[in-house]
Amino acid sequence: MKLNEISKPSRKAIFESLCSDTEQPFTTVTLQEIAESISKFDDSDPGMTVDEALDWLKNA
Amino acid sequence: MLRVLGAGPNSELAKTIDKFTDQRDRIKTELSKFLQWKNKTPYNGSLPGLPGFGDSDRKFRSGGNFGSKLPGISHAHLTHNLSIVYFVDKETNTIRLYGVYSHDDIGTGSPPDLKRQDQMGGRWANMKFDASIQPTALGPSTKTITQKPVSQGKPNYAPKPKQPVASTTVQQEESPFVQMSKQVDSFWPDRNLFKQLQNARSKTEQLAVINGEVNYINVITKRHSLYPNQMQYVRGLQALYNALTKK
Repeated sequence: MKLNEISKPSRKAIFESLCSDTEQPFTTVTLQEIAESISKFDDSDPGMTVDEALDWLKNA
Repeated sequence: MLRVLGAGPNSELAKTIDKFTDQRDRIKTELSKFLQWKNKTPYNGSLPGLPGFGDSDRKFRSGGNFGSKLPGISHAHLTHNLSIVYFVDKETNTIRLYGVYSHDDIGTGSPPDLKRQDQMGGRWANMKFDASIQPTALGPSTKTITQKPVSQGKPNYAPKPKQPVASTTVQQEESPFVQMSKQVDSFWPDRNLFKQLQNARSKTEQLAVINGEVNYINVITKRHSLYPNQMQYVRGLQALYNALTKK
């Protein structure tokens, strides 16, 4: 494992880690999608309040 | 109050919700409840005295460096087959929403054991069939036909001397598929495979019987390794499957 993967794990490292949980309900393909989403997550996202998120969900 | 990261248009969350158009409204409703719940109890999964969102809210159990860096990534059911994957960061007081994902499509209701699935897949892939059970096309099943004497013209009611009834028994040869079914059945008679296949009214139903048996074996392999006769049974099932699907 490379040094930068300790602070920001690669998609592969995340996927392997998720796979090591044998009691989760997802298929391998879905775990790959989850790993990709986690690895690509935008840390600079300012986010929104819960109320704003609820409004977004209501109107989405 | 928590800040929500990963929501909004063009987010991964929005994309994953859009995949499930038939459950979209339900997802939005449940996701709103989930956010309200996590806002009150901002924890990953469930903790003693601090229940999660439903019974299935729990952390991924992961090891290694990833597990030690991000130990709390969790998943909670929104519907019977969809879960939200999230992470509550107590230090920054945020919740990251990674997306909504579906569960195992098989619908067994039991979480898959990937290692065992791989083992099972490997077994199927490496199977070699006994030379004695070669798959061949389907043929008619065994039947014993008794031919009655055919009377001709007007019936003759005059007493006749007793004669042995003239009957002809035509023994047709069993089809290879029937022979093979019996042989596979003999490996594990308790499963009543032959009877099940006899009761099946079509090739589709026969395939369903075989699939049912394979699913049963998948379940028992989670408890223990297969006995030799059970392994023979599995090989036989695949031979039968090949015979049925052969074009």
